[in-house]
Amino acid sequence: MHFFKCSQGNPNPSPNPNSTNLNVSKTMQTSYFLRAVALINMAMPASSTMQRGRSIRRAAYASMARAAGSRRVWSRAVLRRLQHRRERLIRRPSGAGRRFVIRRRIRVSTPREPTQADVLRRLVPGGKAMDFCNLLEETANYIQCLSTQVSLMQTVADSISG
Amino acid sequence: MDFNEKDKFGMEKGSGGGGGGGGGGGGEHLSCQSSGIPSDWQIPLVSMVESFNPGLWNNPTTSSQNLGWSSSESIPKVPFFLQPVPAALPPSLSHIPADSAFIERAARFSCFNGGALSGVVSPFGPSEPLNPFSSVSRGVSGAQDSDLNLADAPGEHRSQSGSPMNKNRGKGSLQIRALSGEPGDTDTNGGSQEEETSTGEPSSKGLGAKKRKRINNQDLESDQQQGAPQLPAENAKDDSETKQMSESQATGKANGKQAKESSDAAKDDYIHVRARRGQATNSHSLAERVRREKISQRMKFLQDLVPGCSKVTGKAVMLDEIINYVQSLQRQVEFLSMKLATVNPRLDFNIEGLLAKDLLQSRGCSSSSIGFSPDIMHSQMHSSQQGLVHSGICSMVNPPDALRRAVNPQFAPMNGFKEPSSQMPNAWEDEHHNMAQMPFGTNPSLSTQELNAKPHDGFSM
Repeated sequence: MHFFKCSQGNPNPSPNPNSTNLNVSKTMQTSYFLRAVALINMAMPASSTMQRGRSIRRAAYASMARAAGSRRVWSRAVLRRLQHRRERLIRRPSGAGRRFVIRRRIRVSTPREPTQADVLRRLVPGGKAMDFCNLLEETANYIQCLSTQVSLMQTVADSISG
Repeated sequence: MDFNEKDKFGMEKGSGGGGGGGGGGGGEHLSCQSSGIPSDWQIPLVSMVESFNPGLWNNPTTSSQNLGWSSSESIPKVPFFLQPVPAALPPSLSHIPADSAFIERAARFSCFNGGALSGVVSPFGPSEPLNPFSSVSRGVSGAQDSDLNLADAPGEHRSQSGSPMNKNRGKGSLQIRALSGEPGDTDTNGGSQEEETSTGEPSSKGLGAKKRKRINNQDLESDQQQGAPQLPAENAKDDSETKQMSESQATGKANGKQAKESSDAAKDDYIHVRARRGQATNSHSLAERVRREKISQRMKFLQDLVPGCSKVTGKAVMLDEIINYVQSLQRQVEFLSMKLATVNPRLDFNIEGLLAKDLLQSRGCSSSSIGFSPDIMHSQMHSSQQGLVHSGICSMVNPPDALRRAVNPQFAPMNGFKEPSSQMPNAWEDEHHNMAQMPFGTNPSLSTQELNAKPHDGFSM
């Protein structure tokens, strides 16, 4: 998975990731994603489709988060998750058994049925600790970036398979 | 302030000179402060001081000196009044929280100008105002107390000398030197060398404790003043007015608490919540109203963002739509990544060739397609007129479906299932069936179960 090192641990990050200019972030997203896909195909040509698909999906989210910058909660959550994954892979190279079992804290409170806000919290990365107001804001930005990513991926897929 | 110098000055002056210097300092103080303080509540303060002091100290010389002072000017009495309270009520002090609002009120009542709030906290730094507290806490005689407090007041005055005293700075500093000689002076009068040595050591812990004590002290004093029956009802009104004034004046201060308060005040100014007729006006309902307004504003923004959501009324239905849309987008990302993985062998070549072609066409200077930095990529992608990457960007900006058809018209069956996904997110389940029937990839491992399994349990990478 060294393509993540290339796509995220870039020494010179995007010039202005926090800019409100959507065109710039879209362009950055495109460049990140295309480079990541190229690196995936170079790095793992013989692996199965599922593996490659998962890494491409990870690359898609990573490019989204990178293009959105660190001002957003969801992008920070995505990047943190990828970072943890990388660290886990480094710490446990290949099937050496799970040494660190992270136990989730069991909630003592009585379980209530999840509201719609809870469903949305689960969908938006990093949304678990947000209040409803910020959750809506993050959701709006996340939807924007996600639709951009979907249209980008569709374009790439069309241009390739066409 | 040098301690030796202070001491020497005190020896020169003597006890009477200290009083005279204090009087001069107090007069200066009064002249500076009189602009910020309404003059009608100075008189009750004086009466209260006079009524309180004999109760607090049984020393008759203290009260006589005190009365002599209060006849000349009223304001320097107030820090004088502040001090004996811890001696009278030491155990209750620890229970009073150091609330910032209380500090502010106390600052207002201690007759320092509301604009120079930082002067209230800062003079308790490692300079001479420490001395009176130590002596007060030890229960020294009231005469010492009065002198020390008078020395204390101009010390604070000097610390806030930035705003009102800039004009006659030389004179003020001279007076302050004269006044700062007084603690040493009274110490020698009291004859206790122990206090003199104790005043020289500015231990930080004791400093913090004293500061806290002083602050609480002021709280207590302000509470007493507010609860005192002899205060007229106008005082309360003046109180609120001066509090607002000091809040508005405190916006530029660098102190942490005050900065927070001022930011709150600025935020309150910024939001401009006004209760309409019949609406509740307490702070909780105002905040709740602000929150609801914010939520509805963001809901409107999301309504524009999510297709098919503009006709929907009601928050719950709209949230349903939003959830469905996010889920469909995540599924689309997953599906498209799988699709990109299935068309791998040509994709491998294509992407590299695409990037290289784009780079070479745009500038013709870069030779490697992998080692470029994103800024170069960025500028080159902007300047490029041809190439697939550029068309991809264009199609992101424009409505995607038309351009997608323009890019590859042979992909018409694929379009048939892609179009509704961006418009009608609810119909996704049918689309999966369409996809399964389509002659799409050559890889049999890509099935609908795999695609459907993941995104139902939240966001997953």
